[in-house]
This record gives sequence, C-alpha cells and structure tokens, in this order.
Amino acid sequence: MKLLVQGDDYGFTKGVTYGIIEAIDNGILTCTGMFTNMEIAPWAAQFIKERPDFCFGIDFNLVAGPSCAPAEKIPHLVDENGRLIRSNIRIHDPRWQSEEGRAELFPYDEVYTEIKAQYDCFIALTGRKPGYLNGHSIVAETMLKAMRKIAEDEDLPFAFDFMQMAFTTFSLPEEEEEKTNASVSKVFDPQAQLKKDPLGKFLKYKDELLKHEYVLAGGHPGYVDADLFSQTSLSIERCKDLEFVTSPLMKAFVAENHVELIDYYDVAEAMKQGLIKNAEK
Amino acid sequence: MKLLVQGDDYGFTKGVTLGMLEGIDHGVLTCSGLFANMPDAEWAAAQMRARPDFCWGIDFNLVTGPCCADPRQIPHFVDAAGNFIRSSITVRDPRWQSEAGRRAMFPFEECYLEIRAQFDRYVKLVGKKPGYLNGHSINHENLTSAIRQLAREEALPYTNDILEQFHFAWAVDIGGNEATTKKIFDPAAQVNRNPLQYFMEHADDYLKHEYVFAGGHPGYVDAALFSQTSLSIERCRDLEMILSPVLKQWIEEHKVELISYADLI
Repeated sequence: MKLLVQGDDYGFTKGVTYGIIEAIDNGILTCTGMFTNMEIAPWAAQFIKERPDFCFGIDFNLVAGPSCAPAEKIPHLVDENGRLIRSNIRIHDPRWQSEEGRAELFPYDEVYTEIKAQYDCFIALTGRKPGYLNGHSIVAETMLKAMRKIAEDEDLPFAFDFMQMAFTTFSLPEEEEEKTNASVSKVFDPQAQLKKDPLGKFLKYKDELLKHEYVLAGGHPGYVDADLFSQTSLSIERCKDLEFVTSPLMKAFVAENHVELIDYYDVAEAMKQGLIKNAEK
Repeated sequence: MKLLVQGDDYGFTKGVTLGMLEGIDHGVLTCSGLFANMPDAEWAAAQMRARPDFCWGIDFNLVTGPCCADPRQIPHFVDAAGNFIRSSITVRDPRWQSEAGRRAMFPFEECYLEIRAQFDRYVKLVGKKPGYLNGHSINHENLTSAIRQLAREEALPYTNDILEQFHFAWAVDIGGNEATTKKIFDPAAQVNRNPLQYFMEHADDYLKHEYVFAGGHPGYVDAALFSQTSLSIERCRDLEMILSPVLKQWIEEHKVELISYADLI
C-alpha cells in the first residue's frame, strides 16, 4: 500500500500552522497545501523555506480571508471589505444549486484571476513552485476549469485527479455520530466535532484499506485557536485530525504493514509513467 | 493600575505550550507556571530557557499526568501506574466535602514530598528556581500548607498569599465556568466563553484598583487535552484575550502597567 497523507489549510491561522508543522516534523503527514492569501502567509512561508524537501502544495481558497488579486478585479468573489465571501453564505444562495448559477457566483475570469494571483503569491513567498494544486472547500465548475488550466500550464499534479484514482478515506462509510459534519453542512456543532475519530475510523477499516495500492488519507490537522471560530465551521475537529497524523498507532501501522508513505512528487512521477490507473476507485 | 496577567498550565500539552509562548511573545501575558511533571516538560523547559527574562513559575499539579516523587511514597493520590487521580474523580469522593476528609485524601507529608520533587525537577530542567509557586486545579488545606512551607524554605512568593498581601482585585470571569468549578465538560459553553468581552465590560472598575489580577489558561487546543482535563476548548478563548489588540490598546490608553511577581518582591 502506498499512502499519501494530506493536510489541508496550511497557513489558515497560527494554531493550524503550528499543528501542521508538528504533523510534518513528528507525524506521518506527507503533504500540505497552503492558503497564500491570509495575512499570516509571510510568517507561515518561513517554515516552508526551512523544510525544502517536504511537499508543500497550494490550497486555492476562495471563501476565507482577504483576496490576493485586487478586489476591484474580482467583485463577485469579495464583500465590501475586500474579503472573500464565506462558503456558508455561498451555499445558501439559490444560484448555488445549478451549474449556471454557480458560474454566476464564481465567474471564470475572476476565479482564474484570483487563483493565479494566489499561485504567484506562493512562489513569491516561498521561492519555489508548489508541489501540487488543490481546491479548498466548495468547488464550482469554473474553479475546476481554472485550477486545471494552471495545472496544465505549470505541469503540476492536481489533487482532485489523484483523488479520482486513489482510494480515499473520505469514501469510507460515514459513522453515525459524524452525520452533522462541518465540511458538508457548514454548520458548527462542537459536540459532533469532538466525536469525530479519524484515527479510530482508519484503524477500524485498515484491512480494507490495505487492499488498495494507492490510498489518500486526508484531513485538516491543526491546533484549535479562536481565530477559527469566526472564519470557518470546521474548527474543533482539526485537533482530532492532528491526533490521527501524529498518533504512535498510525506510525506502528505504517511500519508493521510496510506502507510506503508517498507525496505528490511521487504521484506526479507515477502518473507520468502511467502507473496509477482509474481502476483504484 | 498595575495588571498582572498569569497563564497557568504551561507544559501541559504541546498545544498549550505553543499557545502560551504565543501569548508571551505577542500578547500581554506577564507570567506562566510550568507543570514540571509532564512528559513534555523537558521540551517546554527548553523554550523557557530561551526566554530568560520572563517570569516563569511552577504550577504544582497533583491531579494529572505522572508524579515526580516515588509513587510508593504518595499512595493516597496516585494510581498503581504512578499517575495522579484526576480532580473530576476526587471532587466526587464524599470525603472531599469536609476539611478532615480532604486532609485524609491528601496527607500533608505526601503533598510536600510530591511538590518538593516537582520543584527539584523544575530546577533541574530550567537551570534556576521558579519566580513563584502556584497550586493547580483543586485547592485543599494540606496542599496550601505544603506550598507555604516550600515557599518559606526557598524564599519564593506563593501566589495565593502574595496576591492577598497586595490586595489584588480579581479580573477573572469564574461565573458559570463548570470546567473549573465542577469539573464538567460542556463543549458549547467553552466555545462561547468570552473572557475578553467580560474583561472589557468591567474594565472601568478595574482601573479603580491599584493591583489587578487577570489570568487564565491560554493555549491552543489539542486532542491530548480531552483525555486529561475538562478544561480544554476554552483555552483558545483565554489565548484570544491575551493576544487581543483591543486589550492591548486599552492597556496603552489607560497607562496600565503590566507587572509580574518579580515586581512584587
């Protein structure tokens, strides 16, 4: 089994950033995607520079924090303060229900302008290209198209493509207590987030997971800080994802089963050689 | 007005430690006490040595993690593995309701042995004595006596006594905080706690006093907390207050002097 362990939202808040650094230095995390648009991005970038071999990608974020492109160039994406409009507002807009509506909410040209600005910002801050591209939170068709264009232009792997090919932990059966999940409903339920147990779930299904050649274990590891509560419904459960990627039980699982930990550099190479097939799904 | 801002439980978990350091480096925290008994204490102590001018104290912890003394010598409050019996269990023991019962649960000699062992470990890890002594979580008569004895022997301030001696006014929202008082974990209540708002609502009153104590348990929240304490999520609210630009601006505008225990001795 080849296991890619992905942590999203690097650089979202200081707590999230410190938590992901912990998962990189003392856990089994193999890659993480950065929010390049946040105020703390230059601070978060210094830890990237200190870890030149780790696979840092970019999480294109159109729903939290300030924009990278000038606000006047992307009027559909930002509010009156120049901040990206939050996903819990977007999904309650009736237009979100149809593809035409989503293209109105997220016009392609504006989406491309913003994610290209975020891409350029990554290079300016870190001095290197991202290891992969990924979409954050809700994804409209126009975002997919814009991300694929940058992936092709820059010859970089797009996480969504790998997710189509690999077996992902997201496709494991939903546990009863996870039913009010922040990433789907965008509703904040502290009790439900505390009940999330990605470590227990992974180990419960480990025999099934071991049958697959490529597995993606994804999550949002981080320490929880108060900055999260005002910006996202996905807050407390981040420390559960951090527990998962730093757990001695996971390290033992990897060692005992000779699991090969891989990142998107490995994925890009395997894709080029035609080694990853859609049959994994 | 002189404001002392104390952060308890430094070294409890990695998240708490990193959050506390954030509160020291970028916030208004003026002192913080180490849990010398925790497995991460050595790593936490390295960060203390990198901040030699900060007022570091010790939080004597008899309710969570492994003990520092020989567990066979303190059988009343550790389990067979040498881990402390949690406060949530202790406060539900009927003996906890009377002073005699509390003294029976925590004999003086055992309290002293353990806090002396924690003190010695602190000195070994940090390379110098703590700036103050403080008791963590539930207070009881024998723990207080043991800390007082150690305070005399080492000529160090004991928080409870020195705060009283200087007539500190208390700027801490303890109302309805069941994690602290009853050791009950209510996640939504902890998320919704707002110590910053509480402080700012009472700020005018605080200015009438010469000495004011603000404090809490600032930290980032990690999963290691949930299995060890009922006081978990609200730590990030305490950290929010310590880092708040609103509080910093108020301190500046009213020429509040930030002080630590070092300024009182």
